Amino acid sequence: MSMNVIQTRSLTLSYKRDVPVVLNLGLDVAEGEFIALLGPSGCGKTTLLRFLAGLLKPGEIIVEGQATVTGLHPSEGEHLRGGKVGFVFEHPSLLPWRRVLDNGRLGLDIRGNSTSDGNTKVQELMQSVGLKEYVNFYPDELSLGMQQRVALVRCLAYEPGVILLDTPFSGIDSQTKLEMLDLVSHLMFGEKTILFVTHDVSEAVTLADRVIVLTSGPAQVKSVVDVGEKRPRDVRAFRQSEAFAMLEREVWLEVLRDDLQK
Amino acid sequence: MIYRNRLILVLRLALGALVVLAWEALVRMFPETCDPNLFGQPTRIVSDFVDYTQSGFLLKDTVATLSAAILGLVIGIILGLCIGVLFGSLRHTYTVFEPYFVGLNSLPRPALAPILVLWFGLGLTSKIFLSASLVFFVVFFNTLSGVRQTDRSLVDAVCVTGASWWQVFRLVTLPSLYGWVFAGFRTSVSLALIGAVVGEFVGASRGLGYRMMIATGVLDTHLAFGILLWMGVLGAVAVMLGTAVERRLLRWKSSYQAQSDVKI
Repeated sequence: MSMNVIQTRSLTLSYKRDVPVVLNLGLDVAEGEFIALLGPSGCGKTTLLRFLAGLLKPGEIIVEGQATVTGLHPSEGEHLRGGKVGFVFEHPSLLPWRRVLDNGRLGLDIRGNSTSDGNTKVQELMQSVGLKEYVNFYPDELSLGMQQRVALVRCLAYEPGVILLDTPFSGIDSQTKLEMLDLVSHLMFGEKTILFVTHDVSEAVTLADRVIVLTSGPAQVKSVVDVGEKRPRDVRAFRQSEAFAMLEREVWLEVLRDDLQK
Repeated sequence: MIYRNRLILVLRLALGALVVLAWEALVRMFPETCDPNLFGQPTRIVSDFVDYTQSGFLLKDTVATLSAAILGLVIGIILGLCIGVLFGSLRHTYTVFEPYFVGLNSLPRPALAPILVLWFGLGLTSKIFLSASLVFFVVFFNTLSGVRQTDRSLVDAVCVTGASWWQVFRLVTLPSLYGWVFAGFRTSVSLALIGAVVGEFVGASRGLGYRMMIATGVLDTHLAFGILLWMGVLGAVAVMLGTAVERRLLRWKSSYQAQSDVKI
């Protein structure tokens, strides 16, 4: 059995004492798994992801319970320094003064890896996301969807073992979103462990091995749905399948369970 | 676009020529009301300025004033940047120092000129200090705002790749500051010149300010006006050079990109 790369036990996160954003969360993500955390806006899933990424410093948040990412406590930021974690934000957050290629190379530059292998890797990734002709552009010259693809390259270029995705497809039109789902499905599999936060049921079912449905704040695990479709997937074909429709319905029922019971 | 730019240039020159012609005409037509010895006369301003140039003093005075202004500008910018970054990063420490910075900035700096001359003598040093003291606060407060308003999402994006504090500073904070520093650059250039000239008014043995004081002392209004216009030209050239550097460093900003800028 593969080890848990991300693990939380009774994890409670609060910005103010007695006002938890995440409550008693138990989460096990094994190596190579693609997990979608599905919850409504404001339920605390982004806070959880930022905490796991080590972006919330002690003093910014009150932490109770236990959490480890690649065996290390996230608050200490050790897992970041080792380049073990990658993060794709809701907004591309590209450095506007660096050209597209240099933004893609950011993680490699930070590690002092200026080898031709690294450069070739970034060029190949740019090609695979369809941005080969735009490497000398500045981010402001690209559309939001293209900028988000550069953010994907930036995350993948230094080959982190754990990738955290924070609603990376929000604000993108449906056609571009479909292309990006396809890219993520084909670029993020194998040994990579993915924790994907979203409020979109079909995105979650399209990509994940397991969909964890969260309560509407503070975030608690409501139910887990196994997708059971091997990855990488042909996103377009999968979304048109009967299995996809049934899974989507099953997840929707879990999302709306409390409302339906009322 | 080229036609429009040429038209603007022609209109600008025409406006300048009109003002000069009106000035010359007023002084010639109403010499008692508009005494040329008080208000100057363009033709005599030109002839006096040519004499001043041929004497070789213009070059020496310009070098003296510009040396003080440029050194004051450079020192003011470097100190303003470094101390601005320091206090921008140490928010709590700055709250202790804040009233002192605000108080010092509120001081009428030209009033410091006699004290600086007393401390550093009639030479270049007192003018450099006065210029730097004027430039420092503009750059300092802009840098402080720049550091505090650095885009958190960009810092996070760099942090998450495992960047150290220094790498975050070099890759995000510093480039973010360019816009803030250049926002105050034009003002800083004017202030550096003002500092140098005011310092020369108070006590100097050369420089454009010193020469203006001598000229007004002997009622040579034409030379004083000539020097004043020359200082205007120097200031404008400095600001244009600064704008060119700004365009180069901030070329990534959409507002500076080519006119054919196309968003895909």
